[in-house]
Amino acid sequence: MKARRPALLQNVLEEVHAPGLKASERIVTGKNTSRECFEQVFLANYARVVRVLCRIVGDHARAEDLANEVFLKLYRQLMPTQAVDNVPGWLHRTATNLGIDALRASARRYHYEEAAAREQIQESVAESALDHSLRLETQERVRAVLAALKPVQAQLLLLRASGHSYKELAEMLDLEIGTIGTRLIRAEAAFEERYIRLYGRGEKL
Amino acid sequence: MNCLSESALRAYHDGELTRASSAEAEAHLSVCTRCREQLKRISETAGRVQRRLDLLDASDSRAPIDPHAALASFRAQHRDDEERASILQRLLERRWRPAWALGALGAILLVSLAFPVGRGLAQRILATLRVERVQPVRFDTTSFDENRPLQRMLSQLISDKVVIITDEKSQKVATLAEASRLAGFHVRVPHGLPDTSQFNVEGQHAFRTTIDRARLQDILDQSGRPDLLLPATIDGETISFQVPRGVRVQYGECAGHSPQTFNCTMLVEAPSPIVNVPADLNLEQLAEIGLQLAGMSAVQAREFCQTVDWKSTLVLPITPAVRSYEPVTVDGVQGTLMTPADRRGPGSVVIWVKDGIIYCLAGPGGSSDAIALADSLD
Repeated sequence: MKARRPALLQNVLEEVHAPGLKASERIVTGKNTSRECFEQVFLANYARVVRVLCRIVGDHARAEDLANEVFLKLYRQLMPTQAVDNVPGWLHRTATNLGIDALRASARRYHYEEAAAREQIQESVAESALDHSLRLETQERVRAVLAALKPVQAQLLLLRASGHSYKELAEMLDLEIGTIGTRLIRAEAAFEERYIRLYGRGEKL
Repeated sequence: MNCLSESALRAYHDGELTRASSAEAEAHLSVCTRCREQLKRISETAGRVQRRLDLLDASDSRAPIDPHAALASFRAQHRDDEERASILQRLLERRWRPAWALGALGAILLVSLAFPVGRGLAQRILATLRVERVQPVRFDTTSFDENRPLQRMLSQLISDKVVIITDEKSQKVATLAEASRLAGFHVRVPHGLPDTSQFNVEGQHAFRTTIDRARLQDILDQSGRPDLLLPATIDGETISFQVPRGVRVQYGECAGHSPQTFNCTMLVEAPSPIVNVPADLNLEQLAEIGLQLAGMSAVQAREFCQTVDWKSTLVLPITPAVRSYEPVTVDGVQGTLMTPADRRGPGSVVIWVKDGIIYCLAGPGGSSDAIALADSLD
């Protein structure tokens, strides 16, 4: 049997058992623990994580801040190394999670839903500007509805919309694969119900 | 063939059925109007939601994304982390996994199970828990160590739900007086050791966690305790932790030693961490459950709980890393003396609490050396 490192009970014990080990040498990035590996993961995934977050929060600077937080979580992910078998999947999941949290936080701060619902389009604006502002308004509505859903439902919808298979969704969200179909149906029903409640049935898609 | 379930229809719509199941579903759909109509409804709703979510694609920024610049800025921001890991980071490390995860599970259970259903959440006043004494408890982590799905669920839960509020770095200081000033309490040192001591003031930390009932319930199921049902009202409740500054004093070679020449003595002293939880907890009942999770029988757990005040007692998990432990009188109070199983590290470790400060002393000698040293603190 492979010798197991004893579970330590005190900081003191830990310190004298592993003296002088730098935090950077303990960075957990999938199955490797080296700093180089973390940096490779960062470079390979950063742009994708920013894009995922930008879709959710709709603001590039905010998306970059949140992407930093995602990588900081990975950097400090010093819990079971084996738990992060699939680093890109973990990053995507954590990014949607943080993105939804951010949406919910701004919904609380600014009464997002009401603001988006009240927004009026000025009749005098030019056609292209009208299209643009309509699109922005609809995006804000979608975000407001996502913020109002249960976080796990919002996350499921976003991850599925980015093309993840049931198997991937089950692994990323720690769900039974057999429940994904039903969960999607419920999440979509909740999304529609919320959307109609806030904005009515008028909008055609 | 019976009608298709909602979930099968959805999986069919998403192309997620196996080829055989898909053919079967198709055959059934060709003869069943009801299922065809349901599939149509599912497909229409899915389409409408997907189109709305697709609108978000347009918010994809055109701004350039430069991963190299981002990495450079990330490095600059977190350079200090690389120099010295904070206590919190060390606590979250892999080596701590079983003790920490069990502790987290225990803490969450403690809080969650006590809430009476239907109570107004906002009316609860927080109770403050402070450590006044230490109580060793044997923790059997074997089954936990081997339960990988459980580890994964817990680590994911901690990663998602623990929000770090303060994470101050530790700093080296030159003198005892400076250490006391920064830490905000009188730091005591042992007599009879060389003057070449090193003082580290460990930063203060604060973090909070929010209860996610559904995921906790899954964790209980995975731990083999589906019989414990969590009340719905706990969802979203917050527990906060504050860890004040502490001081670590080191003598001898504490870095880069080899097992043959181990001569590091380390003393950590810190005020009690403070845990804020909703006030109306039946701590005793919850502790019983936690102890059963850690391997005690129901009767043992109940007997044990009757002797302990949970509002002021720190449970010291005695894992397989500890070969033996015993109660001792040290520094005028009762403490716990432990002999680690790993002979490459300290020979003995003694932990006690006096005047609100938790002390932990680890050294190369045997039990009498450790106690004599602890008794010599000025």
